[in-house]
Amino acid sequence: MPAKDGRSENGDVGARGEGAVATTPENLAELYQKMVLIRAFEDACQRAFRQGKIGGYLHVYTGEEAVATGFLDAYREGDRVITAYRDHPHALLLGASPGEVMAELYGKRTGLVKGKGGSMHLFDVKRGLMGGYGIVGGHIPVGVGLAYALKYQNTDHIVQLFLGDGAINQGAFHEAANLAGLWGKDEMCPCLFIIENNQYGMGTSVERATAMTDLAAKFDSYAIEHEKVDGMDLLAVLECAHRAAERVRESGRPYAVEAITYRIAPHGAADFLEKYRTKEEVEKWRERDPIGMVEKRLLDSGDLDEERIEEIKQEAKREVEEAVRFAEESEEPPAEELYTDVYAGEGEE
Amino acid sequence: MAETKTYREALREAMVHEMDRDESVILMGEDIGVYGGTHLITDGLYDKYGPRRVIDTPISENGFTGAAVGMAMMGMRPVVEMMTWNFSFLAADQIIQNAAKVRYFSGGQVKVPLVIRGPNGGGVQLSAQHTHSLESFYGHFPGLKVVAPVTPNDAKGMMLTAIRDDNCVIFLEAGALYGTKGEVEEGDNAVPFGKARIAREGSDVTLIAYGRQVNLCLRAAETLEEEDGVDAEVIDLRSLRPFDEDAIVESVKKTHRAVAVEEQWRWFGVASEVAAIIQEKAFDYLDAPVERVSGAETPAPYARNLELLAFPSEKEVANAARRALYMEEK
Amino acid sequence: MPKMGDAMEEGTLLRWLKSQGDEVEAGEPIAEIETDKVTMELEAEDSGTLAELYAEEGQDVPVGEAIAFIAGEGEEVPERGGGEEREETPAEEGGSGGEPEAATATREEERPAPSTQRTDGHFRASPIVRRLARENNLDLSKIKGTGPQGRIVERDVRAALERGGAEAAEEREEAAPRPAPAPAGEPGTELVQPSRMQKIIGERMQQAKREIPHFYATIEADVGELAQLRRDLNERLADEGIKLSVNDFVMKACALALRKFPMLNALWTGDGIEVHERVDLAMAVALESGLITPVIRDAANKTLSAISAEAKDLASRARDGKLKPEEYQGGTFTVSNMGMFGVESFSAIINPPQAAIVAVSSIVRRPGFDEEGNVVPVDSMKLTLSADHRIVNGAEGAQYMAEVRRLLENPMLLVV
Repeated sequence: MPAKDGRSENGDVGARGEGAVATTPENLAELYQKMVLIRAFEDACQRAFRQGKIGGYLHVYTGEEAVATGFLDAYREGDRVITAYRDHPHALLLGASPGEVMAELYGKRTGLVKGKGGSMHLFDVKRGLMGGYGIVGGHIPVGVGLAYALKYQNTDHIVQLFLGDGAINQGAFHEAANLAGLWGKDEMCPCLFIIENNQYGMGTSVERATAMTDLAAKFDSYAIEHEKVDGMDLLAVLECAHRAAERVRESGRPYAVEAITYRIAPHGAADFLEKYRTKEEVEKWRERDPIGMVEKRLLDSGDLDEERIEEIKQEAKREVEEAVRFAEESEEPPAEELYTDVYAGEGEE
Repeated sequence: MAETKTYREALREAMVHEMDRDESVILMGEDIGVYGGTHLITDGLYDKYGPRRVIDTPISENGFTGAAVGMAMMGMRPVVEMMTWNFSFLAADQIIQNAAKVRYFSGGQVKVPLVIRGPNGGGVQLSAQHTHSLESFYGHFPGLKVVAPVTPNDAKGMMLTAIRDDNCVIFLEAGALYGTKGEVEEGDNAVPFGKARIAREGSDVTLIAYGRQVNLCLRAAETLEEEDGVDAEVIDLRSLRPFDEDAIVESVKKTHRAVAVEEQWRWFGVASEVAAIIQEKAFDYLDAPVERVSGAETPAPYARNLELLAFPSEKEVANAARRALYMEEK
Repeated sequence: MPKMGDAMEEGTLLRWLKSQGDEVEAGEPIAEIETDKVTMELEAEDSGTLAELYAEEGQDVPVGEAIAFIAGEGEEVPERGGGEEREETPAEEGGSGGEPEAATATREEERPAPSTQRTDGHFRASPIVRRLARENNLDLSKIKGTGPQGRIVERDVRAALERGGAEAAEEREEAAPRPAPAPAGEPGTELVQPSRMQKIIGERMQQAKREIPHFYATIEADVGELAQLRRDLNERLADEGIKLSVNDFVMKACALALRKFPMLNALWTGDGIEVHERVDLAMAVALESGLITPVIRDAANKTLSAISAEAKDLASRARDGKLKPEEYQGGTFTVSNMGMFGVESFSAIINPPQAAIVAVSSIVRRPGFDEEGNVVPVDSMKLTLSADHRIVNGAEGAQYMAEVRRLLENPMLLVV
């Protein structure tokens, strides 16, 4: 299967991989709606964070929407999804309500994990979301274990394991990838690695942190096949995602996709844009805003008109406002909740 | 029914018992499969259960411990070997940040029925990096359970309990005692966590320890009896988290004096916790301050004589007891 | 520094719970103090500003000496110096029924020797030792510590228990003094400070009432014959200068009756009820500044005239303040007569550690009945027994009083 295509030094994707078909998916409008919702949601989070309503850290997905939306369109019930801390869209796309997620960020008892995790620890196990982790790279071995279990338990489910470009330099990644490649040889590791390469690990660009910047190619060291995809182009992502997921599901072997994308918001909402990027860079990539691109596509094909598009945006806005209201009005967790879930079973200390 | 077995045989028996009973139990670790385990704990198990259930891992403590966490979250019951607990620091992020906490920060949506086991403690000239006793280190974290069996029977019984527990259990084996023998009950002899064992009953002073220090205290108790006419009670804590406070309090209420013995360093250690509990709950019963006998505040040395000085000795324990009794030290 | 027990002479200011300058409320603990037996919190008597702390932590302070000054609004801290009121400590242990003399220092040698073990006012003793001392009512000052720096350790207590002799002299109250309400200072009121004797008596009476389960039994005796006999005897003894009073007869009667009811001639000690064969009868004598009870030793074996002479002598010297301590200490039973004041009935407070006291009221002429049922005048006197129910039960007390009445109504029995 194609793994290399024309790319610049940075690994930009110039054209889609061989065998990819540029058809418009039937549910494109639906996917567009989802992306709009995610964007609106993340904007609202930033506002709330600045107002002090959301504490701790906040990591928003603004600009990267196509990656999660595309890949999770290939999610099948019974699959597992695991990611680091930039996890709001994954929760929303898997079916959690915006209210539940916002309430979690607000630290309320109605939150997705009862207010005990916050932004970085979104779990929705019954819908497949296995977290939500705060330590860069720390979740990657866990994801590989999830995959092993899926095969050990004789299922044909897969794991979608999202990670960032910063995590690629963690020891945990390399150990996990090695294990995945090893177990993959016995078809015991149906793990799809999705690298959300948004060009920056916190404030440090990939070039400055990574000696060999072709992130996908690193998987060669672990006998894991890979490809790159333009993470700003939803259609490209969709095509790649479905294909890759199918492949992993059938073979029981791991596969890696490096999705090149760009963060429009800073790393955590408390940083300032100016500190480490130029305004020109930002402008250029906005032209290639993933939502913008889909919008254009839908308008061109006549599936949506401006009016409907505006409606969709307003709907999203309302839904998000409703979520914020729900979060505001919800109660904090009761004091006793402090001591629950430390241990499973009788063993509460 | 009981048979004489070694500590390592007892461990193996427990693992076999559970692996036979429950498909979801698997083993992971370095050289545990084909090689039979560097301490021969898992000897023969690879042949019995095959590579899917007895996984030889690369030297990637963080990687395979994290993977085990993932498996546990899916309902499997992995038993991960740390070749020695000294290597666990490499996996500390997975143990402390994931295994201990993920139930909590997922709001109870997952649990981690994971056992991490391996030889703990020193005393065989393995030098500084291979000589740690990690009861207080891991005992510090809510979300983990920490146990340290001393007798072969407890090794088996507590391993059964550990595998069945739905939480991450840090199973600290007394590495120096792998070859020791003892009566081991047949079949299911599960030993509950959070219950100490009275290794020797006595009335004059309570010696409290875990791991191989328990045997040290038993020897010291004999010396105290012969030489000083002192009748010492020896408590084997065997479970550090959960901890049996009642056992030590009841004992001190009886004897009025306590000596806490630990191999590790004194600062912020298990003996400090024991002393705190005693003074909190048995203050009016104390005749003397609680004595602590700990390892020397240095990394472990290599030379045999220095190593002996670095760890508690029978003499130190006996003298600590004498101090508590206001008797002359020897 | 408050007095927390009869024998307490000084306490230790262990630590301040409040700082100089703090606002304090009446009843609020401001310091921890330690006596031989107890450690307790000292409560502020008044609300105000803790303007000045006089004692340092760890300092031994004599009873009665000021340790702090709580200033009211606008009040200034007075100069410290000779003008300070000091409560003088009585120099001896309060004996049974004995009242302390104003003059001190006659009984110095009887006080327990101060412990050499005390450092900074603390006893070094392990916690188990303190518990054992509490449970066995031991006086730690009597136990030598063999632990480091003289610490008393378990084996010392065990040894002391076997040997004996380390018991605390008396049961001690552990209650902190309740603060009384502040004087209102209304016009028409005058603030009078109780005298030392008043204070001491007050404390003893308070203690008695608090600790002793009193019960009472009253009899009414027809003393017509007794009065007649008294007149007869006094006529005959006038030349010898003997003048018997009614009270002499009463005292003799009470003393004799005790022979038949020895349980009332007993003392309550920490180790049990000490029954005395000999009746050492204390008689209450009113003084200008209070009360004292000199003792007539072996009253049951003394003649009426001997009792009378002694009583007179003791009473007169009591009023002159010239009694020796052994003359007012060690009584086993007390008689208190208020008949001369026309009191028709009253009950008295027991003098600890005695078992009982009899209150004698005045003779009143009342209508009574003779054998035929005719109304006749009767000279009647009421006597009320107060007894310690721990030592005496109701029936015994009643029987005793019945015996007293029998003797009083058959006065010839008092002369034999």
